[in-house]
Amino acid sequence: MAREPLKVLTESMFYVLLSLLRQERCGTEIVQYVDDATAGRVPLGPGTLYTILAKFQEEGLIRETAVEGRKRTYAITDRGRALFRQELSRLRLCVGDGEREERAAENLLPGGREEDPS
Amino acid sequence: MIKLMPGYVEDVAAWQARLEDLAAKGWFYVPSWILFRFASFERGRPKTVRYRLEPAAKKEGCPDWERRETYRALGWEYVDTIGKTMHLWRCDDPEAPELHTDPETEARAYDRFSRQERISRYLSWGILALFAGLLAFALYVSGGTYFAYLVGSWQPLWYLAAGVSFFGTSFFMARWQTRVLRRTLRTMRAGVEAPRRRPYRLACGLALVMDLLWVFYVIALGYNGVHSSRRTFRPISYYLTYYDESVPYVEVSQDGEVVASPQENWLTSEQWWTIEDYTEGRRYYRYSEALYYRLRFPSLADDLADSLLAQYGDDYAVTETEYPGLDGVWTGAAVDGDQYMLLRLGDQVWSVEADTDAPLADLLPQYAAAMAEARQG
Repeated sequence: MAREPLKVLTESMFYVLLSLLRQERCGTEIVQYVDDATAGRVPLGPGTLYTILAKFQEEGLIRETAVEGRKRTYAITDRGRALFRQELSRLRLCVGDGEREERAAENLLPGGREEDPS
Repeated sequence: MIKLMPGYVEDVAAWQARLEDLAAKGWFYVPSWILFRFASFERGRPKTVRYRLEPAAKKEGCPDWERRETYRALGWEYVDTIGKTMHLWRCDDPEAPELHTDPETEARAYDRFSRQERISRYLSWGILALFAGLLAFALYVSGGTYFAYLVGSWQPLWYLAAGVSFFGTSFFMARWQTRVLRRTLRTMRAGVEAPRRRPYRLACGLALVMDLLWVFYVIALGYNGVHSSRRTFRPISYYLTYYDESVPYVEVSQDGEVVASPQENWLTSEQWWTIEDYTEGRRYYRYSEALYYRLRFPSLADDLADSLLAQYGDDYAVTETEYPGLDGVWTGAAVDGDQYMLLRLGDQVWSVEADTDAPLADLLPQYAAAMAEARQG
């Protein structure tokens, strides 16, 4: 199987990129940030974290900035920011589509007929 | 304590289940240099722990310290890297998060495996095609003599069974466990969490069978080497005295000693090589060399006769004759006067070369009688 470049981010990937938007972080800090930001809704296992970090580095979305003892710090790259923005737009579109459909569904009369606007 | 594991480590769920069940019984995995499909365990207090296998990155001997620290902070301890392909992690804290919490990402960790698996698959088919090509080439070059070589080589049924069963089981196991891995990856790629546990008893049983077959095959190979280099010919009276077995032969010269050696081959129920020779001072003379075959499948007797004729026919200018009581007789003589005769009766084929001036056809009554006797016996 050929290596596929990332086009759509999973929820875990999205939050890992998000965690690096404002500052550089190491592995445990990323996990802690995601846990706080999502109030524990998105668990981030260490295996998942390191697979994501390896994939992001391979794709040039993040880079290693420092290695201090047993601590390695990562920072987001311009390419990473671009992908993040692209993902954010995609999610906005998804949310917009969802909300529009939901409103339309709420306006439906029982039996599936639409309400008369007059 | 050495314990059997369920086949290849790529069968992740089966391995994890086996390790966790052993831990619950108080046996904990320890790294060791154990070969085959065994692993080493040490005794401890029975405990519910989680074991997880994770694909190692390319050329990654073991996870670096930074990574181990992060895993440790999240409740996971590095245990070992198995077969340079999988890292084994252990978690004693039931509250700790799973090692992998995102199935799609987890599937990406197996990307290297998938690539390797595809390469191995193409490589296997390539090797198989190469072997098929070589076999076809050998058959073409041999000009029909290959079957005679196959029947005449030392290849008893158990030797064939050793090879076929070992390679067959290995192939089956590899296919089976690759399918399991592929199914798991499909599940994960669809965003669904793959099962962390899988029944492993059958895989363990097959792994044991595979190891035993491997040992059996290696012994068979060794025995083949020794046997092929030490072929023993003994006087024919020896076989009658010690094994109560009569050797089919006809004396060509009446002058020398007849020695025989049985040959084992899965295609023949009986096969004897007989040599009639003598020494005069320091000189060694060989009067005759006969190969007697009794085929397990009578329909192959014709093919063997054809193959032997392809082997000897040109040197001896062989022609077909007839003799009552025999299904086929071919005789011929070489330029230097050496004689050749091939006889066939039912499932028996007899190929005789002789360094004699007297035509071998003169001895046809004796050969026919010996073959008729063997047929009745």
